[in-house]
Amino acid sequence: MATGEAFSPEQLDRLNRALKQAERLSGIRFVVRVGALRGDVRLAAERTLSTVVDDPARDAAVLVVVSPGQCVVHIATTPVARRRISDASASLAALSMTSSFSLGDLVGGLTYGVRQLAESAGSPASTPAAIRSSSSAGSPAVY
Amino acid sequence: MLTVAGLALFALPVFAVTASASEIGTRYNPDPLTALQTWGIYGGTIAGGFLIAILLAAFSGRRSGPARYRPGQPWEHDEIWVGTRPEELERQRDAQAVPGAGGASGNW
Repeated sequence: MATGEAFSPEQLDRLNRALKQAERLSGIRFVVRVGALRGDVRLAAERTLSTVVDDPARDAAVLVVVSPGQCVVHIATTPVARRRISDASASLAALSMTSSFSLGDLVGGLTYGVRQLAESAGSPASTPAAIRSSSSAGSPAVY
Repeated sequence: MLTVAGLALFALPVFAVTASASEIGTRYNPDPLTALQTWGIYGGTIAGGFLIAILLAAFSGRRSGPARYRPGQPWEHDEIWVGTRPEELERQRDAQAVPGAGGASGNW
């Protein structure tokens, strides 16, 4: 392993801010892991996803796994997060990321991809389930 | 910017020495430069500027600290986590795939 960090403190700070902003916007926990992976990338990502949340079946979380050496990125969503970030949206975000990665912009691609995922999830209050629950709890609906 | 500074650093003393020489002829009939002086002024200034720029670039490159990841190169660093690391959770879980998990992959 090389000495020192792969990213500069400024790059890490930029990524941290992007993740915090995405979490604030969507209410979903975002985690990014950059490093070498062994075996099946999808399986490794889903297994890792289960370790970054307390209850993978109930918590909404997204894990973005990037292996620069293998030139692979995988976005894994928990079942709850999947209801708000469809596989098609995740695929679009992965495409955006790989476009930037192919130009050598690893941090820019991750920042943009995470933002895109958060925007596709929307705010927690704007999800259909939240709207249904708020309308049933509030004043009676007028038809 | 560094190149300009280097050039100025090298060229100014040369011009100053030339200007301070006592026998420089008149403005209408200046003393001719020897071939060595001509090469020294016109060739040496440029070569010296490049030399200073190369030295400054090499020095600043050596001083820039730890090696960062360079795109296209193999990943030879420790893994990087942004967000919650698995070790930071109070209740650590075994790594198992969650049924119903989704997502997407991409290559570049």
